[in-house]
Amino acid sequence: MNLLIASSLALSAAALPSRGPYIQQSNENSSYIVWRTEADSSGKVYYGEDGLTQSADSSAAGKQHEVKLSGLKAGTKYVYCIDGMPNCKVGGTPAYSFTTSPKVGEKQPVRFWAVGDSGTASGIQALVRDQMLKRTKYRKPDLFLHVGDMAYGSGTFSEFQIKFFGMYANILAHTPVWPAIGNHEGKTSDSVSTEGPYYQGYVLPKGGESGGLASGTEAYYSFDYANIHFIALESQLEEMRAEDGAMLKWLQMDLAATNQDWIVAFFHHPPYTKGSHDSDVETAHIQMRERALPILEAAGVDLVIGGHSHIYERSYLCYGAHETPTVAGNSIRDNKDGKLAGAGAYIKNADEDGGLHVVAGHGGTPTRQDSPTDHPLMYFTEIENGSVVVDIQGDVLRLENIRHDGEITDSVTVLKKNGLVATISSDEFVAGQKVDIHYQSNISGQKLSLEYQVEGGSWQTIATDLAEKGSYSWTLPDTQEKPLQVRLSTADGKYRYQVPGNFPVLSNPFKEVFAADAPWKFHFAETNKDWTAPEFVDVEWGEGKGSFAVCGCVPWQCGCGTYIADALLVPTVYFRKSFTIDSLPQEYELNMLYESGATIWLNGKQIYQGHLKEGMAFDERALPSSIGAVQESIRGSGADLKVGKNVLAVVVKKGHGIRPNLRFEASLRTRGNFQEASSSDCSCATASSRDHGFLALSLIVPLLVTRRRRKVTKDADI
Amino acid sequence: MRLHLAGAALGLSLLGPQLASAHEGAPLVLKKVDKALAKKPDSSKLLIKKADLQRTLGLHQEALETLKAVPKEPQAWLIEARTYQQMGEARKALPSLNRFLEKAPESPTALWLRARIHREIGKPAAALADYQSAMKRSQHPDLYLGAAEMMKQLGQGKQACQSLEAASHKLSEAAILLESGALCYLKLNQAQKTLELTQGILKKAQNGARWLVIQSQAQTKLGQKAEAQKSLEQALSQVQSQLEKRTAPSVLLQRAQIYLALGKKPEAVADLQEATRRAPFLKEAQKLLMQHSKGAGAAQ
Repeated sequence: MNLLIASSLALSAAALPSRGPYIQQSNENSSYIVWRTEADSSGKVYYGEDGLTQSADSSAAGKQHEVKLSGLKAGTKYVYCIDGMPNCKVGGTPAYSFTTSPKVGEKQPVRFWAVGDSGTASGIQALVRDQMLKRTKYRKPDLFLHVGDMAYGSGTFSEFQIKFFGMYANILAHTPVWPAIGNHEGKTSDSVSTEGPYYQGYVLPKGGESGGLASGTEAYYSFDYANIHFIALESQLEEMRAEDGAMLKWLQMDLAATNQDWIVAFFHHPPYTKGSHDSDVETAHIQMRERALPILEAAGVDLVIGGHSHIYERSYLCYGAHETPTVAGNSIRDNKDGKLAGAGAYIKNADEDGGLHVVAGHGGTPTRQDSPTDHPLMYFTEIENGSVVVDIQGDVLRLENIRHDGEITDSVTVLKKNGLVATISSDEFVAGQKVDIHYQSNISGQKLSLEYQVEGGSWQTIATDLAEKGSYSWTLPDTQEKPLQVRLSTADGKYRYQVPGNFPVLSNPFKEVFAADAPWKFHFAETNKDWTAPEFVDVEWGEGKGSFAVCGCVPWQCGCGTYIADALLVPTVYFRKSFTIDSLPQEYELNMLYESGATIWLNGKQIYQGHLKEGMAFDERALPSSIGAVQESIRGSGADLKVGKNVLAVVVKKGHGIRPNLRFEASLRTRGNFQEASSSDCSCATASSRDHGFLALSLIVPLLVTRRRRKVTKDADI
Repeated sequence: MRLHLAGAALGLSLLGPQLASAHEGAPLVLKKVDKALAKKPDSSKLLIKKADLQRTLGLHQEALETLKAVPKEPQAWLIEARTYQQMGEARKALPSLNRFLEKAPESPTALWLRARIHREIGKPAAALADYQSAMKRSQHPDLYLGAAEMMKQLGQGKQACQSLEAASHKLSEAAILLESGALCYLKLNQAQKTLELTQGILKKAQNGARWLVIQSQAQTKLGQKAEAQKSLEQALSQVQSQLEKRTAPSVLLQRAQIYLALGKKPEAVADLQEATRRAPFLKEAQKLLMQHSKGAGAAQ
């Protein structure tokens, strides 16, 4: 923690954050709200449980503000804002919220996001972020773990600003982040003196403030969250890895002192990898394996997450492989897939049954594998960008790898002694649709039952008398668009597992109007101000298939539908698309990806603006708030559409930075029948057109999007 | 002339893995560096990078050979020192490290490295001086542990304990410093101090068995036999409940240590046997088992 001393000059009373706010060192009773301002200023946070009821000041004026909110209740949502933000005062308008940690030891569902080697500020980093947000839309992560290399190339202040705090701003304002230092941060931040941008930016628990034993340094630390003990180690500096050093001695003590059900360790250099780095030949990996891992395993570590190697690797359940080179031998304690839809979850009845090792060095930098073979302890390896979401609930751990294109390419489940688990394999839920529920229990002699609940109502039976492992095909009920929850219970009701998330069940399914590779008109010079109007004549404009890019196309990033090479130096591109519908839907959904700012009009009416402002000139670029590609899903009333011809008009602007790209793609889908009562401004739909049920569409190019739906061979367990 | 590099004072960019921190593995980077060196054979930067990569890969002799081409580069001196230290030839590491510290006298990491080397070659006073110099720029627990160790070697046991105690308070009640201080005082028969420091950890630990054992040792020294017994029983009870949750070998080792303190050798040996069976790599359990297995009798 570093509090900068205020300059007496240019001290303003309240200033808007230039970085943050972000949540730090959260525990049951307190949290730090941290932010930076351009100029020296005093810092104040307004916060409260039910609205902004109280305030707290930073202890010193300056640019870096670290305000501790104390006396909070465990597991409770608080809202807050920073003094200087609009209407930020007692009784004013909250801007953000966060939830304090649950009581230590409490067995409640926990979800965390783990990312490594992300700090590039690239489109792919943004995609990885957005796919996680999409995947977790029904249940947001409680914590964000970063395993290092968050700000390439040297972890400077400005690199942190753009590649970490800017990139994840919306997540960091609500979700506590817990980092482990990477070698790139180590170029400008020193773990011996704890100086440099990494240590200035974070407020980490060196005194055991969030659980665990005090390490006395922010370089490595531990914390408790619910029934999980998390340990962050410093793996990049040789001194820290010393066998007789303070870190490993503290690690032993810290593990001896914990009674938590789960132990999760994370650090930059993983014990096992064959990606862009080789754990058999590089010292940092070898020493972490030979020195730190035996201590962790002797204490029963359940999950070890690393990065550094730019790849995704996930191990079998393994134990005791510390030698160099690593051979599988009998270290693999369960050589199956660990999947509910496959051979079944890994069973961990004793600590020496082993732990999982995950290399998540695929958060944003180009992935690669230099080794000709996969690591012998890894069940699954993928040389693609992505990130990892982990759910821990009771005696169950589930981990998913979310690839940059949204595919869940790997998932694994570990069941401890009294663990039982269920998963539902669908991204979207529609009444009447059949979904597979996979389930498994590690409680012998107990039949299982599946139940569902609609919006807090009573639990209703899906199926009873189920065996210890299997799958059940369930027809989703019509919940009138209300969210439902699903749980698995033992027959005696003693053990339960609730599938994470509240899943809204749509009464009608979505149907595609046009796909992401449909053709659009485009133009990259100053244009008539009426270009957003439906009647505007765009015959002079160019035409191409989506996706569009101006600074090079990487197949998985933008699809290379149209490479607008001529627009390389142009900051703005205009797009128009006509499509027809023959009945009004209840709702439309426009899914798009753009870089870096966009405004969208539907039939002349603005329906979206992201990272742009009104009246921007052709030469102006997107607002600095945008970093990398943005993935958005806009839903609107069918009343915004017209029977017959409709027009979407989109302006996309480049962002800032060294090599800003300009990209755009969009697809449209609609569902249901328009209901007169649900809208006030539609006069175009006839009664007959609304009677048709779903849309009969006249598509310009009705191609299906397959590019981003690649199937992987190894995983089917969602 | 002093070295005016931003990171030099911190010991950054000059010491460790940073030079080998490309996006590729060290062997691949080494190949690329070699390729680049073929075009620019005199590039100091490349030669230093090559030497550090060789060191990282354990190619120590090769690293030393490479460094001969850059005799005037401070970074090269530091890498040379590290290489010798890794080779177990600490004495040879000193000259180059001294040269580096002449240029960057405040680098805590370089001072720490030299302290370790002085320690290894049996120069505790010089090591202590380096640890203390490093402490002026850094507050890392390792520096205080190292300094205390040197003080003990120099016969300054009391100062060592006091230094650990003071450091523990300075560094947010760091557990490692509290425990080291507690054990230090115990050795000096200042058991009351041991109790005070142990309390600092027990306040934070969910499971305090390890420190309850130390507490009982201190209580015994203070003649508080009943309290000592009670501490051990409390420790045993905490470990038992931990074992209900976790069957980890380290917990079995902990219970064995408590059994030993309670004079229950057969039970201790049984736990040690089980711990070493489950975790053959648990050196402390193996060591204790060797010490106590003879004539322990069966404890099933």
